[in-house]
Amino acid sequence: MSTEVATIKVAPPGGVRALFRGMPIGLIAAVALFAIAGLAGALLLLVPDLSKLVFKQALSKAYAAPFTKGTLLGADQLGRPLEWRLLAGLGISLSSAAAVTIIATTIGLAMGILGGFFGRTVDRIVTIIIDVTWAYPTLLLAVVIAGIQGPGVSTVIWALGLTLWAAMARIVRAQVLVLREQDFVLAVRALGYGRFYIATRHLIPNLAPICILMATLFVALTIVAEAGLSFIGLGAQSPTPSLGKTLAEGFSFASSSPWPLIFGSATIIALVTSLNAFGDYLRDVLDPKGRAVLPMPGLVPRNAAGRAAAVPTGESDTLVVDGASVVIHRRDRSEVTAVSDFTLSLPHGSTLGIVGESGSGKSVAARAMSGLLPSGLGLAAGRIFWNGVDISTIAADKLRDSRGKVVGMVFQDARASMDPLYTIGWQITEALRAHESGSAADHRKRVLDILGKVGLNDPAVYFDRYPHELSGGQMQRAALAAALILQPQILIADEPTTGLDATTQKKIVTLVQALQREMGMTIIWISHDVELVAQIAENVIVMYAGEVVEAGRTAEVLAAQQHPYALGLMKSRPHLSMTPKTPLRSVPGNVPEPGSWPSACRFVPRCDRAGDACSRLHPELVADASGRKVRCHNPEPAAAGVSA
Amino acid sequence: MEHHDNITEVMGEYRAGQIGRREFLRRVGVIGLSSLAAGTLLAGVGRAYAQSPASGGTLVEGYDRDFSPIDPVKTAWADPAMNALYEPLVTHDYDGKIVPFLALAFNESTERWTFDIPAGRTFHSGAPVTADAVARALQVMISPDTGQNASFYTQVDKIAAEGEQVVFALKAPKHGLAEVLSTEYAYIPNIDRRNEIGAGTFGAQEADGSGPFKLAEYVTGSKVRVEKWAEYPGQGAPHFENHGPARLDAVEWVPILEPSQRAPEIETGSVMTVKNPPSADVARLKSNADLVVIEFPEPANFFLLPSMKRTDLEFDKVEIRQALSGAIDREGIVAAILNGGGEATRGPVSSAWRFYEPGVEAFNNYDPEKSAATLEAAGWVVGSSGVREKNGVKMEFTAIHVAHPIEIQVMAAIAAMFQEIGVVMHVESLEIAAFREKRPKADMFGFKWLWAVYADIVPLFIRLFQPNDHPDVAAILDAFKAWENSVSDDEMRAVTSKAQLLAAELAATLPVYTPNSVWVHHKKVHGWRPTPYGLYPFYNDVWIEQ
Amino acid sequence: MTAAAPEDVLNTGVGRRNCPTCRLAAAIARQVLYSLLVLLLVATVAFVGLRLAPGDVTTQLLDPVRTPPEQFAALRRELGLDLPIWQQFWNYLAGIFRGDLGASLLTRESVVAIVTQAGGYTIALALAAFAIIYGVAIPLGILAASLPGSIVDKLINFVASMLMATPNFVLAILLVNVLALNLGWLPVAGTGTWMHLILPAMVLAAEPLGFATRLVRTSYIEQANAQYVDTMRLRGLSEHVIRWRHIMRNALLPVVSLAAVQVRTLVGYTLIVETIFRWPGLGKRLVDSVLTRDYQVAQGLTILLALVVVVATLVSSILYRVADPRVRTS
Repeated sequence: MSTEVATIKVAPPGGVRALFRGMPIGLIAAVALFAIAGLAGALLLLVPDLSKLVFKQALSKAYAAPFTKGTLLGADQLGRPLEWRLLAGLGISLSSAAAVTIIATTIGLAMGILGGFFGRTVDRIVTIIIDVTWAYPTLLLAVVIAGIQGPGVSTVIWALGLTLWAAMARIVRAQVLVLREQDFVLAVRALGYGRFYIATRHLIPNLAPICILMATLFVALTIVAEAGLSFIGLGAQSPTPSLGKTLAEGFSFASSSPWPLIFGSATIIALVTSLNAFGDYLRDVLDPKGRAVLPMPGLVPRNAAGRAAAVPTGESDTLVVDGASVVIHRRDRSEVTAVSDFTLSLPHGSTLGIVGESGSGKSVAARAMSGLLPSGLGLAAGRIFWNGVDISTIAADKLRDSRGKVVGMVFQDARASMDPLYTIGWQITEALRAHESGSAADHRKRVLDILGKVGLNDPAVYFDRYPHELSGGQMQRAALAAALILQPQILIADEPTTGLDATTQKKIVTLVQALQREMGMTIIWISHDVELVAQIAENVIVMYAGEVVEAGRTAEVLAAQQHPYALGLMKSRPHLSMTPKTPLRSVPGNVPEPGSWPSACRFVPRCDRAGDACSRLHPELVADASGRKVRCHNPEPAAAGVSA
Repeated sequence: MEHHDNITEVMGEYRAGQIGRREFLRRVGVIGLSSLAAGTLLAGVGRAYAQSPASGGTLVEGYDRDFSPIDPVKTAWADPAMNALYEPLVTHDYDGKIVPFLALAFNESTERWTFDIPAGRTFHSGAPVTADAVARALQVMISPDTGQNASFYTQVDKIAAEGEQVVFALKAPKHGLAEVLSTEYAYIPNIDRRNEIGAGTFGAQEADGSGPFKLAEYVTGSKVRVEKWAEYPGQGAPHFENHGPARLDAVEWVPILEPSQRAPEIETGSVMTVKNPPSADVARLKSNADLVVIEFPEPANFFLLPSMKRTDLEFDKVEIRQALSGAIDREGIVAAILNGGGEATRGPVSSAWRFYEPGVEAFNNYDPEKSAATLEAAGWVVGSSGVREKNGVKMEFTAIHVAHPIEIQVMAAIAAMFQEIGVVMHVESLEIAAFREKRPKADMFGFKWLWAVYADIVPLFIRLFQPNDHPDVAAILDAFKAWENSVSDDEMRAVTSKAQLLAAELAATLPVYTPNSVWVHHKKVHGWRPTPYGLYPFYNDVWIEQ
Repeated sequence: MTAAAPEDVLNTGVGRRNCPTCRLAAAIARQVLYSLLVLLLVATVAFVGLRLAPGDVTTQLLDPVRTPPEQFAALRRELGLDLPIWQQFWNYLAGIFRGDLGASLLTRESVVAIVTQAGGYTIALALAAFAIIYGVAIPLGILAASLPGSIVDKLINFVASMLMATPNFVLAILLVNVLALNLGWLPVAGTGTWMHLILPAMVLAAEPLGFATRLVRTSYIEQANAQYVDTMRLRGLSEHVIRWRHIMRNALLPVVSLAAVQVRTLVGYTLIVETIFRWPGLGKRLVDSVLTRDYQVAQGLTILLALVVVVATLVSSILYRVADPRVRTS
């Protein structure tokens, strides 16, 4: 789960359109309302007759209270109806905010790309221009511009536009520095395309989302800043009814009539608050890492009591999972199943491989076994036993203590599983200290020992290294050390070698096998890579769309697949260098997302053997005499197997 | 005179503490004085209290402007600290009569004015205040090379010391000279010290005058503090109660530039006096039992001046200017924007001046239909865009003025009023430096003069009018010249009346309004008496109830 | 506003592994030199920019309506404003290198004295505002992030958004009326006691406080969802340790960058607050000096403001260096 999420940093090209999908109705309504009001207000200013209506001299209405003297929201000190003034004000404020955004974005984008993409000398010049701009007081700029061209809305626009671009340029430059090292940019460069072409065709589309995010910030900022500058007298001039002007005048005449100040403030606050909410929403979409998630669910399934307490086979086994279902809690409080009816039993010292594509639910199943599901996931049904004890019955404190001792886990992205701010040694020691007392020297010795065991020669050096100072292979060894320091009975390895080069991958696999022999662990090895699993696991499970579709001894399953999906998976013969995103060549289509699974057989849309029953009935996992299990109405004939 | 006796009687009772303030106001109301005038009276009367004036304490005053250097010779604006640090030769008493101050006595004639300088006076630094020192200070002020207000003294031939006397020799008569000499720009500094340390330094980092306080601190934009000069050898003006060193230990001014903060600051006691709170707050302050509000028309007038150089817009023609003037609803502006805290004006001066000519009220009256008809008759017809045009020229121009919260509203209101008759006025509210730079070339500008001495208005206007050779301008300037050169009150009354009527009729300036000047002080502050005759009160008599 | 990652600034590339202190010292030295260059450029831009606006200080000292024109030329000569602009600039630059920023054209006070005094007030105000911002934003942000999606979270997020949206003069009038006028707890305006500092600091802090609260919240949530947190749970670390030792330290890193940006906001935007509360800081002095065309003072204050921004950036990058090993050793 977490591996996929972590890779989304920059939305792919064309992501802009996708931004608005799934936006909350209230927010759409608020933004649309303001946009329409702003447009209406801007039009109001263009049509001379209407603008005359707005500013028609009517001192007799001065300070009118709301709903009196033919006004809706009351009138200001010159008898101008507030509703018209605020509407026109929205038009002015939003169009000036748009102008600021255009100026700041254009200059910022150009300078940011120049700095990030056009060489070191250009970058130095750009950086110093940015820094000088940033250090130059905006207020001074505003006063000087007002002095040159007279104060007014355009003073606000230029003063802010010529300052804020620096903020945009900094962010764009940082993004470009990341983007230019990415494969697609390198590829286009290798083809000999010019920098300008690459910048306009490839960089800008990728920068669009961050620009949009900054733009919402600029619009909100301009609206508030315009109020401030109008208050000082540098902003809009009478009778221009910008929101800031209405507010500043309302302030001067507040003791005569509070309405302009009240309604003016309310308008600005509502506008800026909705813009902020809009910005939040955009940020969530663009960078879901900051998204608020639901609280940690417990591990006690809600219907645990309702299930038959049939003790599963192999009570003495290290790990038993009985009919576990894991659900994702969505933001709208609905639930979707990610893994259903997951059952297995692992004797001590055995090795199990779990294979399947991305999204097949294998990682989620593994996490359920680890005794701790990530935030947003919950165990909806089933039980998990460690050494015969149902973990839902273990007290929270004790369960925490057991974690790490019973189950250790390593992930694909080993670097992300370490706190970047502490040294490797420190973090491993911390895990040790949380469970076992002992002198610091003793702890250090044990950590150095395990670092040595995982193949980090010269452990004393690695002890003091920070995660970012290690290579991918070294990092995965360090992560292994952290997982093994407490000598767990079970090691769950979730694609630990994916993303590493072939040689390193081999070394890690060999290391884990050696450690298993030495420490006598049970291992669950999760991978999309069938060949890799074949090397280490005695038993294998094939998962598809949240459920086990085939299980058995590795050699047997590899020799002949009964489930059409398993067959396809083997046929595709994935290579060591494959990434989880690479589609299967022989099975058309993709794994459906949780929530959009067909109700009967979940593989039906991609299956060439699908029959009538397949779209009506959900197949059960059926075991044959040898213990080989398959979930299929129409299994492959035994002969159709492909030899490994 | 019975009327006058009644006032004297009531004032006597109030002074003696026999009647309260409210009762005083009620009784003078019965006598027939407006509350405005009564407020002024009340401020001037002062009141005897059971306890005698206390010594000590710091008076903290909320000032409505930013500070300028306190140098009578060269400063952008006269600040109240002038009244504590320096003394003029003469000043106004509470009735507006000229009385000697630094001078012991003075003598006026058409060619020669004399001022007797008392013996034994010194400046703060100890330098003697001799007739010679005073004469040399005045010589700097009247010289066109050094005196920023030299144009107020064009009738003065020369100033010299003769024994104990300062003698003015005049080329032409100027009855108003005494008034000019009572202003802040004629206060007497130690000119030798000023020459020594240079302008700028003098008036900010140091000041040397003969007033009862010495400059202690000058922080631009933040604070001015003066401290009692314990050895003050002066007498003060005859109408002062206190003829010795100051009663206060110190006076401190703080600028409260945000108008809406002025009322809260005095209500919570962070200042003891405040000038010009927003008119909407005045009622609240008046109902506060701890505070006294004094209100009278400011010696000021806000007007528009159309440039007669814009002949394409026919601003050089009197009927066009009158049409514009007739489109301005002055009463509406006073009621809505000033909250009633002021008066509409139709001539060059406010009705509070002693020589005000009520005849001006026949001119500059609000009549937009007539204005529209006048423009129509002059060939300015409404075009397709709703704007009047003639010979392809649109009646559209830009007016500039100094940005000020109230005046911005007034300009906006006037622009809307002009729009009603098909005239488009764009308004640019400028900072003062930009305004001063752009004013000579502006199509029209709005401007409020604020100056207690009307005699100075004459030289003031000469530079404002452009061009000076336009017959209307020439006629008005001639009338002003006669005003300036009059030899007596009677003559002045006659010629100013004529000048006011002429200025009102020719509408070379479009008068708009005179705001009230509002002074608020805490009741425990005594002897603090702002008057319409000077910009600020003097601090010799002020004391704070302990 | 989002800050550039400080690693941009301190990315010195080379350095000997065995001497972290040397590398830090070299990086700081380079940064200081660079900052001086930035300041010099800011001073140049300020010098030129100021002279683009019409008018000069003479029309502030003398009123052209009543003062004869000859006096203006004399005054210009006296103040050195008649010299060619390049010569004025040269004199100014020479002054800067002598540590002399000149004297106010208006009051002849030394600019260094003005800058020191106004700077002192502004720094006091900014520090008070800083204390409010981070004293409130960090606990509130963490509280909201700890209860994501709850009423408390929504309320905090909403209040933070309101604070960001409310123009500071509106907040000022509200607080003055409630806290000073009606309740009488705080003085309306002025200086003197620490009580005088509270209202302006509160008003100044409001907008950055809203922003900081939201940043702390987002950053905390982001870190709380990071994989290392999960891994630590799997290692059996207690929630307490994970939260206070790991999530907090990581979550507060962006706040260090934000603080540098907010220094600029706090110092540069004090004008309105200073005017309303009569606080004699440099925002108001800066605008006054530009309006009165007191070039020397305006230039001096601009350099001071830029200096504050530059120093804040420098301090924040050093802090970042200390707090984040990735920056330290890259």
